[in-house]
Amino acid sequence: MSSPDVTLRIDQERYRPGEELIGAFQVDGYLPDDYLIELSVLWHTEGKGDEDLGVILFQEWSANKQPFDVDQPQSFTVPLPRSPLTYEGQLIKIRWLAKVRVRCSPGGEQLAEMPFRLESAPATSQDNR
Amino acid sequence: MKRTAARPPGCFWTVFLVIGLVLTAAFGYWMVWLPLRVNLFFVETVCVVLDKKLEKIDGTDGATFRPLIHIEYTVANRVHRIWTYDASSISDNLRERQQAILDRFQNGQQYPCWYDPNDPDKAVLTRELSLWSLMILIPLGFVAVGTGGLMYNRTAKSSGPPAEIMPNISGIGAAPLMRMGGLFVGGFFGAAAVAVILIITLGRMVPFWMVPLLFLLPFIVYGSVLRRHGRQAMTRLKLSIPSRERSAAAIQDADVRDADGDEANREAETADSWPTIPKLTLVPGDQLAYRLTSENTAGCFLLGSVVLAVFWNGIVSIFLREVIQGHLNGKPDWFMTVVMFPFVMVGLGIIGFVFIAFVGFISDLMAGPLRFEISSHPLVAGSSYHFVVDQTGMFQVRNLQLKLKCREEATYSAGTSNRTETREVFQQTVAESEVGDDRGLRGTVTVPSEAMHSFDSGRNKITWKLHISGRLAGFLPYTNVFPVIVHPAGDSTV
Repeated sequence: MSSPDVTLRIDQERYRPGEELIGAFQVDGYLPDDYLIELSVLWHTEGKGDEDLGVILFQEWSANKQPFDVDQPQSFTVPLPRSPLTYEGQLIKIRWLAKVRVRCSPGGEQLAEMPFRLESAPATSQDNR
Repeated sequence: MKRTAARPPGCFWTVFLVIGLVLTAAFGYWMVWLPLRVNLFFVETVCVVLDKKLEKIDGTDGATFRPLIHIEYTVANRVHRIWTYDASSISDNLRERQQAILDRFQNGQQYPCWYDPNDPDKAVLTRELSLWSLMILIPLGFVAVGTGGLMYNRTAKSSGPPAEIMPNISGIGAAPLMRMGGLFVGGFFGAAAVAVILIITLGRMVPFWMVPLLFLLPFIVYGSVLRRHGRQAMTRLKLSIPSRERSAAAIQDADVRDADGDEANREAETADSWPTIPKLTLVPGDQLAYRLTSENTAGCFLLGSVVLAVFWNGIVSIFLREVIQGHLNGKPDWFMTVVMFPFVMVGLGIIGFVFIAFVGFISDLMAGPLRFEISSHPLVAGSSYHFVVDQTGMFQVRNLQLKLKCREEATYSAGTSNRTETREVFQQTVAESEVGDDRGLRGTVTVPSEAMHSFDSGRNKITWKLHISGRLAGFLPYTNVFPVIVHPAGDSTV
């Protein structure tokens, strides 16, 4: 009995604050009686410090609450917040990603991740305020 | 951002395990092995009771008692007379119970006893394992908790969430955890209890070689049950433990939807229009829109360094006095002199810190409050702002210099403590006062268009500050810091 395959895609690699992220994922294969599927869109920090995590979208399916329709793509949309922006610092890095986690018994856990960048709108000419 | 507690580190469980093993060894020797040894190896004979007494042992928690019986028995035609009762010789404060044991024996009567064939001077009047043997369950509990904790940490490290966000398990979600805990810990205690009871009740009825089997049998059953149901329970437990995303979503303002995509927490999305960007409340300025608030900590720095200097040098001085006295009396203690040297150096270093803090504090007092006003706030990357810095104190700060700085702060767990590493990632000189211009500073500050916005997620921070430095009375250094908030480029709401 093989573990289910998870595929995930999103419509862009770069987003502006406030834009809507559109994506879809699909779980192919056999899902046992005990399973849990979680979809999340989140940012997290990497680097020297302990990891911080912020989730802006969380959705889940399970056998006993809301069965998941295997082999059918599940689409999702979520408006992205204005911050934090993707950042590549020296001690701190901020990354954004969409993630699908499939946990089943037996079968363990499968992960599918799709990173993307949240970037600021281009600055207009330096304005005096 | 809300955060949950970190998982206890491996050393915490290791301490549990080591303490448990040490205590198990000690308890096991006195309360299990010694009586067991009597059952296994001692030889039965007949003795005559010569005398008896209740021995009183005074302790810090009160007196305890134990029965002692003077017996006479013969081994290989040699007569032995000893005071004895059982193998463990454990005393307790239950005087009546110990007296009852004593009353069972009458002087001049014969009773069975058991002696050590390797050392016939050792003998006991009972082979029973007392209830004190059950005390071994306590250190065994430490062993179980330590082992379980290490196994959990290992599992969590290999597949689970990072230490920062740990799942909260409660309600119905905790049922698999409770079952698993019950199976692992309860089963272990149950097996240990059954093993002790089996030994107490059947230990003397079965051949010696079966005694270890009696002890191990419950654990073998426990192991087989754990093997059969434990894996299944562990898998269900993993499923029931919320993922780090779920845990984070539950405590943050996440858009949590049910499986149909309906939004359960929609209003939360708009609760914070600039997530992770800290807020700063400012008062209106006299000349420009806002007056920035100083982050000057000269007073706190001085107070802290003085307290540290008094504490450290106060302790060192006690020992230093003895060392100096020795030298003055012509009896120098060179070992102590060498040992004290680094402590004295550290003390002098702290006094140096006190001096620096004092200079900073005096400079701050002499310069008086510095009024720093800016045309708008928060700042936006790529925009420029007018600012005014006015001195209001009696003494003029000269050679004023204003710098815009950005710093990253990363806090990480190191063992049981937290450490914060900081790094300045941006610095730009904004303005410098010209010679003869003592009024202060005026000009515009421009935030680079590519600048990262201010950020605070708990363990990681990006801060922006305006630093002012100068000289007071020509030689006293002066610094002052004014935090600002920077928003991303293109923000038109400010």
